[in-house]
Amino acid sequence: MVLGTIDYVIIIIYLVGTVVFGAYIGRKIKSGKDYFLAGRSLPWWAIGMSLVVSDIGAIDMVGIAGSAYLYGIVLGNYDWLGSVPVMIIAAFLFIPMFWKKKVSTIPEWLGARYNSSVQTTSALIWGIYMPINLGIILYASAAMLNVLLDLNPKVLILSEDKVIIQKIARSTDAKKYDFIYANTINQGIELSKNRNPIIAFIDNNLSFESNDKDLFSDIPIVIFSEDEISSSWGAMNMNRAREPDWDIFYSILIMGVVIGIYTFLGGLRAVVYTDVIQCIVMLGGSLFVLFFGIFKLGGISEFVGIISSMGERTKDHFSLVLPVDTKTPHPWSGILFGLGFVLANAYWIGNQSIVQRSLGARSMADAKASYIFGALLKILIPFAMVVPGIISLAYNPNIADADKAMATLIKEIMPTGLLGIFFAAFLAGLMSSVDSFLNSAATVWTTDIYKKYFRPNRDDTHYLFVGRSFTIVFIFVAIFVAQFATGFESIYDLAQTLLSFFQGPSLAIIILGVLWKRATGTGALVGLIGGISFSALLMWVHSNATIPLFQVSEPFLYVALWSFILSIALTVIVSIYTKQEPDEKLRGMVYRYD
Amino acid sequence: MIDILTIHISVSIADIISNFLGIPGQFIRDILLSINLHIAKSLFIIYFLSITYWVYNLPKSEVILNNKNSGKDINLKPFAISAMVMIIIIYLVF
Repeated sequence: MVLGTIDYVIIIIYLVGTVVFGAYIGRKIKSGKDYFLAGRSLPWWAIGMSLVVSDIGAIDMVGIAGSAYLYGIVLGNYDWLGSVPVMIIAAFLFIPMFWKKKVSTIPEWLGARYNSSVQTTSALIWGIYMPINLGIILYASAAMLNVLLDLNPKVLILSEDKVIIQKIARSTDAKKYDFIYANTINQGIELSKNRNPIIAFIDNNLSFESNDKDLFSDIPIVIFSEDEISSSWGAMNMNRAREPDWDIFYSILIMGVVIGIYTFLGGLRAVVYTDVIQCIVMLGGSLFVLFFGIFKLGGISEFVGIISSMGERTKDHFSLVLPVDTKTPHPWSGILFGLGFVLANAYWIGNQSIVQRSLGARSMADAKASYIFGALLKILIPFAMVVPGIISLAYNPNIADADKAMATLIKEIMPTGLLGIFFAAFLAGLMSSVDSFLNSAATVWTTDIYKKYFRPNRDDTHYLFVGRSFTIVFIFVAIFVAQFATGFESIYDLAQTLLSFFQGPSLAIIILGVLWKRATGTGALVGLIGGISFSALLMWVHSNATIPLFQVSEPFLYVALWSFILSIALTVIVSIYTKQEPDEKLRGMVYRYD
Repeated sequence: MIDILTIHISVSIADIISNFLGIPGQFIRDILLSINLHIAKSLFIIYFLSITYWVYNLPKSEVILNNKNSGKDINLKPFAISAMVMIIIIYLVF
């Protein structure tokens, strides 16, 4: 185990304290309105901190640091370009429009601005996406938990050639296992006793005698030559491996159930106020890793020197603007047009799990101020999340799985006790993201689907019961989905790819709805469905064509951009040829048209 | 046999669409490739400056808000502009 007793004490105090605090805050919940919108009583500072901490969940602590390990500070664009400017635009332009309509969800606002079909389509999209994304967050969190607690099953590799460890890792599902490397038979026997591996791969260049087998504690042994290594060879041999003591699924299950119970008790008020604590703990913990990591390297100039000395591999690690033909998924064109103009706007303006807390603000002033405060906090985030990924590279340039960069760093630099603080910060990120998504998913399904189509006129306590029931259902859906998240190279890219399918089209109809009174319900519906279909088509063509359509590995930024453009075009064209919405419906829904 | 045929047809259709979309795509890509990185960075800065300018010009009614608890007026404009200025500095450094 990596953690010491004091670490566990800190974690337990933090976990119990948060859950008790959440339950205490949520004890006054009496109706659906309390559960979904905190009775519209939230202050700006709490919403602002909640916005930030919900956005930088455990998925970011794992995924962004991992991507920063590979690509450098360019990941900072996701906060500096992808959050700050957009939050300021949202504060003055979009959030007041949503808040004054007193809606509970973005789809509900779309229903009021356009029509019932647009509301239902949007609600179904969010309602399906959010439980899936919950699964991804849970997986990311479980993966890091396993690394931190050293729970992953071990695979022992004995060879004198270090390149072979990389080849074998690639031939198996590297995310599920920790690979232990030894270059002599005796060292392998020793490691086998101490680390309890599930299988041992032994290079046939080493002089391995058949009677040595008994010294390997009965684990399956595969004698191999380098030429044999392939993905089918890896899969076949891993099937022979001994059953591991701990599987990542157990971590997913335990965390899902614990968080599900906590969220079930909470409601939005508990979500937001626990987020305030989590924001302090998470930012404090992450910034501590930043300062401690750089301090142990000898200072900023030493840190920059180590990274710069790695040559071609890190030549762009301190550049925010990368060429169009960069080998990374973050070319400046995609970042500026796809992220800056589309995905970021869609996230901060149209993402239900984000916007929902500002809908629960106690006044319009609080709703606006919360986004400005959040923008100011967001400036700090790349220092807390991205730079530690680069620091990890300075310490360990040869990590096989980049998503383990942050975990490897904190294991290396943090002493007992302080590791517990970081672990609490990690749990804070995890809890804040999961409870937000859970609460929002339950809100959308209750308000936009159940209440609208099944039981429209029941009292508010009935919707509280339904909302809590959805919360339980979705946590189990998330646990199921989490098992499939292991198949993607980078967790963060998977989440972004999913988002890119509908973020662009959703944003298009919100922007036109707020800024152009001529936009009609039929136009919005065609734009939304057409845009999503186009996103799916682009991704399908990119994956199946002999020559990929886009020349970056994960084209989510471009997919979002083109589907946004197409949705705008379709909505405008169809709106022009359909009848304008009645004037009384538009007043208060369109910017500066009261 | 049917699986192989289905894959073959899928790839062919994807290739046709890819070739069709690839022509305007390549044209745009060539234009973007020809843009110098310094100019690209300038585009980022121009975007940030545009937002700063927009905030600066917002009417008082949209930026000065009354806090019901304290009874005082709060002007959000200086906070928003400060955030944007910090972002501009960061992009000038990196």
